[in-house]
Amino acid sequence: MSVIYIVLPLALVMAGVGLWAFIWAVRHGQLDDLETPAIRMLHEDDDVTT
Amino acid sequence: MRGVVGVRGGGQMEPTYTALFRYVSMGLGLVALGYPGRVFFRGGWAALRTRTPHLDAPIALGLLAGGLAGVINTLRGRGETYFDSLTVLVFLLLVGRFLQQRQQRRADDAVEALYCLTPGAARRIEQDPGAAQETGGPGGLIDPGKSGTDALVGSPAWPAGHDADERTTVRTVPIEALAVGDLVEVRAGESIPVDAVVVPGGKARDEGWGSSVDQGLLTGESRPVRVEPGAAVFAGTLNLAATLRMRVTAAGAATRVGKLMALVAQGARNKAPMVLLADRLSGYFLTMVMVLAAATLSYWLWRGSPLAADHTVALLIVACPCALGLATPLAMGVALGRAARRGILIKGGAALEHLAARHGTIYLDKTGTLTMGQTALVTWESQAHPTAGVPPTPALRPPRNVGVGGAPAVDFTATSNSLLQTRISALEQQSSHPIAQAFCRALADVPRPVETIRIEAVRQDARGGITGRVGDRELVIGSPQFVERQVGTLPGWAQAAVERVLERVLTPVLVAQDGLVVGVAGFGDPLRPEARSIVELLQRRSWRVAVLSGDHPDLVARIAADLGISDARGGLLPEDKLALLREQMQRRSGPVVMVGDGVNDAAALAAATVGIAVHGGAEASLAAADIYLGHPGLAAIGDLLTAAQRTVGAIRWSLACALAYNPLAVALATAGWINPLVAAILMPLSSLTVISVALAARTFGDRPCP
Repeated sequence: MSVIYIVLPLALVMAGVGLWAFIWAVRHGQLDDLETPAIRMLHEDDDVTT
Repeated sequence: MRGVVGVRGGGQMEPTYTALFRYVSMGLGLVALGYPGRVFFRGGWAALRTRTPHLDAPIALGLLAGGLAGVINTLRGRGETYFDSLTVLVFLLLVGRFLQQRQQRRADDAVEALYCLTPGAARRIEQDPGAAQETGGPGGLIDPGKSGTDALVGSPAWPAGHDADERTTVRTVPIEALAVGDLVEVRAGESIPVDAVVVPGGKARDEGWGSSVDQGLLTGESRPVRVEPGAAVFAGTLNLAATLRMRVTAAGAATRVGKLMALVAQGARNKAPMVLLADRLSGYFLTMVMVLAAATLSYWLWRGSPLAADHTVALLIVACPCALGLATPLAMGVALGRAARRGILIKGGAALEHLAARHGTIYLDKTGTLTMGQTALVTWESQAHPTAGVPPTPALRPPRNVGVGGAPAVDFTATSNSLLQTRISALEQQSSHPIAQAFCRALADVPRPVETIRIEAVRQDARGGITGRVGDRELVIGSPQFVERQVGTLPGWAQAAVERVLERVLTPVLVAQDGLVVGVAGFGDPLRPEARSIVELLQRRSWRVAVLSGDHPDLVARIAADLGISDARGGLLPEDKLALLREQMQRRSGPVVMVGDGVNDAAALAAATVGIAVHGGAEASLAAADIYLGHPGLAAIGDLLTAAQRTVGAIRWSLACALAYNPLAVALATAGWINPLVAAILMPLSSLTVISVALAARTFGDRPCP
């Protein structure tokens, strides 16, 4: 039963890491555009201006 | 193993594990209260500071009491902790708010996407380096008479004969780059980006370098205004007929539209903060809970119970108006979502709550709101003339829809002289003048001739009309003066017909064929077909209906009389509309609703209790309004009122259900029977009730509202 002393903090830490990663992703715009990346390869590249 | 199963059979966890779980739940609970839950504390504190009732206050109180008691009990190692209930509470309340805000943000985004209709760029005419310098002087007007020497020359794209020796370039620049004194070109059909003065030059020489401008959005005027060199034109108006050159007199915020927008922003700022039904209740609610808490505490203290504080805290938590806080956002969120699917964008739930009022004042704009906002054929009279080859019947079918002045709009296709119609249509298609386009629209249903009609010698005079040879007939279409110049004195019946048209504040247009007048048309801005029924509906619901318009007072009075509206004001400036609205709002006789479309309504829309912008309006009115009708016409207003009443009905039901749980909970708490288990069951149960009531409400149901 004393395994709870390890498992409980471990579970909390893992959940915390997942939560932090999710918040980070939202804040950094990872989820802002869910559609165009999939069709981006169909677009012409921009002209390279020198 | 027994420890994990926990409460089974009255068995207790081993104390060490219990302490661990209490500390863990305290840690998680405090995070939930402190991070996502901080909005309630902030809202509660703001409500307390500004002394405005807000539902956040009792919620914050409950959360604070529960949190503090939980921390103390955890540290003491005995007593109840309610962290699980508090976390669920925060979660449910936030879900409700999220649902409402998502709908509001969607409406905001959709409205914002509509702004993009305005041009962000203008065509600036720039002197080519090395070309002759300007002779007109900075910002000066050039006399059209000596245009042969002026510097306002045609761009290389259209070398214009006499001024082809000087070269300019037309460059598209962002509006921000325009300065006073710049020359700008605006083509037909484009909206004018700045306040400016028309100058001669450019392609439209045949038109006298003039054009006609639709100022309806800015002034509410339904008829296009003729502009000549020297005339002032305003940003946000629409150039209809020909390419115009103009010298910028004001750009950006200094334009008339810019100043109106400042008024709009001011109107929005001055709007009193909304106190919703649930917020008003929360004031009483808070007092009631405080009194009960004090009573509980003193009762148990009097009884000498060591659990007095515990019972009081339990009361505060259970009485925390979770369902109450959930009811409004949820019902609103559902209603806003359903409205959006019908093309009605609502930017805030408060607008719906106001529309549910039993009576109030509704101001309707005329041009573009009650009327189509577009020139159309309203009357048509023709006289048979044997030599003109027109069958002798001016056959008008019974009215199909209602036109200006309550008269039937002309069903032109029913007149029997279809050959004439075909010719008119053929000739008018050569012109982009609003009257010509209205003729073409009215004649759109006329069967097309099998063989091609030859159209020759078309001459347009932007001030008067159009002449041309269509097939083997000479056709003249234009104003009475214009036609008179072409064919001589008008026959008596035509003069009488013109009189009748003028009497009804319409624009008369004559059609002559082979030198004989064959028809007199009246053009105007016809009423929307549903305008009458909507006005009747509003009046039946005992709303005071009034018309506010910038158009000519006679025209406004006429339309109002047709619709059975006694209160109609014409010739109003945007500032006048705003002042009238403010005056009415100060009378506090119910909500004041403004329905409009143009920039001239925007300030009033922003200041009104509820501003409704109709489809096809200017972007300024979209920004200012609380509600945007995405489909043309006014029919949605009826839907809105019904849906508003149903939504508020649903909210009332939810509030009633939520409040019904509270006496029960409070009774249990004062009796000291509340423990975390009971709290954990009661709280979601009341929330579930509220959710089902909100979802079951038939706001904007599938059945079209009457």
